[in-house]
Amino acid sequence: MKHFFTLLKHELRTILLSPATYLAAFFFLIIMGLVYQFVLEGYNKEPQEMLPANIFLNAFYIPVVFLVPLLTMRSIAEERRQGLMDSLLTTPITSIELVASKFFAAYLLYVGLYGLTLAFPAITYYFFPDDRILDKASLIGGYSFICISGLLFTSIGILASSVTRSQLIAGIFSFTLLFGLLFGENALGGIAGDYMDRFFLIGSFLDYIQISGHVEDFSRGVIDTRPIIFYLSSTMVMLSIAVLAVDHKR
Amino acid sequence: MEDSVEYSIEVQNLTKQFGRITAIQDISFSLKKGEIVGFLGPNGAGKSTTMKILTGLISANSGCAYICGIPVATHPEEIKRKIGYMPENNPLPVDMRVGEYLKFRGKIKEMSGRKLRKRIEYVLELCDLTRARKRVIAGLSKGYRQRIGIAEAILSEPEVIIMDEPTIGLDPHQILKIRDLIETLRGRMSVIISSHILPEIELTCDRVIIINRGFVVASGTPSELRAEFLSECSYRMEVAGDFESIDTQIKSVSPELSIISNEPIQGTAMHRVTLGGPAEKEIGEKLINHFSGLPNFTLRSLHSTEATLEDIFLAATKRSWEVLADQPERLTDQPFQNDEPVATVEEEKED
Repeated sequence: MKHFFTLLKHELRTILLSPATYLAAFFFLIIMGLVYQFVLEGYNKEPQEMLPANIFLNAFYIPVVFLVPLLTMRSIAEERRQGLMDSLLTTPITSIELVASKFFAAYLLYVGLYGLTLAFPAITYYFFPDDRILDKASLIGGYSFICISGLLFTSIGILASSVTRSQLIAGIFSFTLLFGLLFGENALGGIAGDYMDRFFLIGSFLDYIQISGHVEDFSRGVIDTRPIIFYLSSTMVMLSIAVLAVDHKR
Repeated sequence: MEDSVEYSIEVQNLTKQFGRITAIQDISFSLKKGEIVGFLGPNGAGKSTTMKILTGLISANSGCAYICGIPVATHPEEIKRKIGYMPENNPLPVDMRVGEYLKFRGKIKEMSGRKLRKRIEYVLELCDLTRARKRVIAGLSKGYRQRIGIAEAILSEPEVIIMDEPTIGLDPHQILKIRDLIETLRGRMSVIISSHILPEIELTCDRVIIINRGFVVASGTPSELRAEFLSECSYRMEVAGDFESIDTQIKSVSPELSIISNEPIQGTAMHRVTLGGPAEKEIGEKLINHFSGLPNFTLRSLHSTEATLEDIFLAATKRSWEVLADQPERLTDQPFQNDEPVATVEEEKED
């Protein structure tokens, strides 16, 4: 992995120079800002059972479905279309280094953008100094979850970008995969409905991968190792497939 | 293996198929150290495929390719440290500056510190890019971009340089510059260049390999190929005198000579006579001596015109088509069984 940091630096530079990044960041911060505003408005109207940070973090995945495709769709697909990938792969770098650098560059940006949303509770606290707004357990747990789940979401984006030459197809593909992952479980659970008891294994598997369940635990400050293993192992699988795709589609 | 070390590139019976299309079949050739070799062929002949196999980008279905004695298929990482590759159309990251791009490529080619800085200065100077080093690639002309590609290929001082169409889309001035640039590599690096601009290849390369439909159809120095494919040569003389007897006089020099055309030059008593005949140096001397000795003829000039590489290329590819057409049994395992033009591999892949 001796070329990794050179490639990572290059990737970060490419991402930071791309207008798509700023477009994604702009829409992301607008949506997250509106979500936070709704949360605060809710508190203004009537007392809530949960802390503002909990409710806000429970909605963190709303922008994921467009943020991740915008950050990752260009990475491999566009380089392949332009022929830059071939040119890179004739140097002593490996496809693992290449995919890892693209993945971590997108991931760092993802985490950085979510990091910016910490400004919302901080600004609120500045004007209304109330300890419940900056509840440490919720914020640490919630943002840890964002960091951990972000690994899987970003790797899905990289995988989608690795299987096609078209940015558009990569974007749509990662959007569909992420949408299925984030919202499909609820739909499956609904369909299975009453039969869930009979198919105990399927039910428990769906519970295991239920992202909304994980985020609730984490934002209450409960850090469970099972979801961590799920996100890390799934990320490895996604990135391995992306490496195979880069190697195969030359 | 010991034998192969004297060669920078050695290719043995390389075959590559893309589905039903055979891109190259049983290709064998070699390059000695320091040699510059031109790789010619019509579109879809398999040039780019061969070059991609040599760089380890794609693998062959059968056969072996060695770079400096190292097998490409089993040691792709090792051979990548020995090659500089300039792909067809020379893709470049358009949002980078020239200097930044070379620095990035140098780093991933495992160069660093002072050595990299000195080498970047050297290639910028060599490729006449020093003034453009801070310019963004997107704003540069095709000529600049091609030179950036060459600068990048030679940056890490590799033993083998592989260039796919380095002069494509350039104006004559730029072609001249790139030719001089390649000339500076002679003896230090082995260079294989594919090109359509045949005079460039003839002037730059020590040897030429012509492939057609995936087969090597000719290989050798331009003069060897000339002797093999086009033994005839034409002579153009400007002469005045008794034109009725000129045919007899020419036949008396060599019975193999024949008059192709005989046209008067306006405003003079001279005629421009074009002769066809064997490509032998002595014939020119014989013609001069013979016509100088004749009182009723005045010879003003005599030029011999050798076959160009373009003529050789056309003759070699035409012969390979004829050979293929004469060997139906060989065609049975070919994708191009009829005389219809074959879809190029590049086109197929793009589809």
